[in-house]
Amino acid sequence: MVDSVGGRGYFSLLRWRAEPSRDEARNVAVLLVDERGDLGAIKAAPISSISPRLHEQGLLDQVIAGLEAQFQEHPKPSLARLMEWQGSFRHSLSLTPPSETAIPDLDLALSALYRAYVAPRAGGSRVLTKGRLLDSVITWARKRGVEIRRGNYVENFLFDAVVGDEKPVLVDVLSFATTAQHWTPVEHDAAHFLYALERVDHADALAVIAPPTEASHRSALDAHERVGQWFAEANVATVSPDQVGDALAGTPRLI
Amino acid sequence: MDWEDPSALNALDREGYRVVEALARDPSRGESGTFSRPSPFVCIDGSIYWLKGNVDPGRVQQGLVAELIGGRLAAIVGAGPAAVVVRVTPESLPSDGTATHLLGVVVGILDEPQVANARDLQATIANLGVPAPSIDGRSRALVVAFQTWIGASDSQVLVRLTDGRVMSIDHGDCFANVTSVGPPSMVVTPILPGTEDVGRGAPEVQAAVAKIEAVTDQQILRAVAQVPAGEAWQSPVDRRLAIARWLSHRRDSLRAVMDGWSTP
Repeated sequence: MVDSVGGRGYFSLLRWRAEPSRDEARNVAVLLVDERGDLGAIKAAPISSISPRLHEQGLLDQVIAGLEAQFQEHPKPSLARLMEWQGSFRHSLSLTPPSETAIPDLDLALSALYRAYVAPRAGGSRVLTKGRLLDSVITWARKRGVEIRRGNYVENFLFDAVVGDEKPVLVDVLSFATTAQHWTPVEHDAAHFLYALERVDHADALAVIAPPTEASHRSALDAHERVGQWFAEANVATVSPDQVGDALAGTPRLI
Repeated sequence: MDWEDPSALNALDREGYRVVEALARDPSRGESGTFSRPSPFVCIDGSIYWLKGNVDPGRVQQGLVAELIGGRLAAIVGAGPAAVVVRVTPESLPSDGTATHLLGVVVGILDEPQVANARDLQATIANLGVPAPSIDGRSRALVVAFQTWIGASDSQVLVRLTDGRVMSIDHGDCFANVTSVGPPSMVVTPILPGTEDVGRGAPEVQAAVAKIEAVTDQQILRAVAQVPAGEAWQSPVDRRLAIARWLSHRRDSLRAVMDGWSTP
């Protein structure tokens, strides 16, 4: 049996075109509203599944986080607001015209529309890549009200994440929990972080590092140890993914 | 299986049927131009189905039950997209009234991405500017065996553009005459010129027949069970039992027919 039918709503798909000159856009989020803004929600794909480029991830994250914030308010975005947004997005981001949909249950309808139009196709690897780990760190922080920005520039240096404004915490995210054999790019990532850190005033630093797993290549152990030494010598706090909560406790919160 | 005794089918029917709720018409695609005017809808399970409803009760081929049974059997043997029962509410229909023929309890065929109907395949690949797919022999043989088994008339197939896999669709015209007990007639749906012999090799044909023969009477009974009632469905118990009996009989005589089509 199915639940009784609720009302009618409208949905739009947020689309991202990595190359504005090419007609190859993909759906990155679904926005669901009703006519008056009584109910509504947004569900976005993991940012790391949309773009591998950190700067693009930062832009997308900023837009999606901004939209999510509006869906936290009361009243929520209405159909009229959705149509306004549809006219305002340009270039790499676009919003499809609102389409009618039944909403027998808000969560079920949102989840179904997400799976139909947005969700990354099944069959992908579940390996904890840097992108996935960064997704988790951002999600974790926001759920607890921590003010965090992804792929953010501070004094001309791009960081994986930045917490707070006045004395920001600069976050580097590294994962050795993959089956990669060559770790030079990860070492370059860590070295860039340490180089940038020396040139940014009034900031704290945190490195979130997923250690090698049993499936990792031996070279991952060596690289993990090497990078760990660099961070220790630079007095950068390092935590594993399950320690992020304690590490960010007391950092700036959203009001 | 005693196909004269309706008690097993009645027992299955009493369990009720599973229904998937439609949410919205897929805004990126319109309805198909065929007689039954199927239209793509996203449903509560997160899948997109092509819904077929009651366009004209007097002309609805063999009723929605044929489409449902055909899709269920196709899914069992892997010959085509699955079919489910879908409930379409007024809230899920476009307010412009273009899909009101779908209101109620209808049948939905799972959408397959990146496919073209074989009838449109040449035009599709010309429009897209992509090379013609290399037709997959194993799936082609399976679809021939399947459509022969269920006696598909006005048979149609989809071809996946990425790997040439062939899938059987549009089973709404099946089971018009389930009293005949003769051997099945071959149903070979044309795809592209020059592909007539794809899938006719003995290994492909033997594998295909084995899949059909592996369908048990109990699976056939389940395929005809748990169906909505109503004029559009044309699904009284005696008709569904007759379909099941007919399918069981044809399954057992399929090998000889397919062997005649196979090439060494």
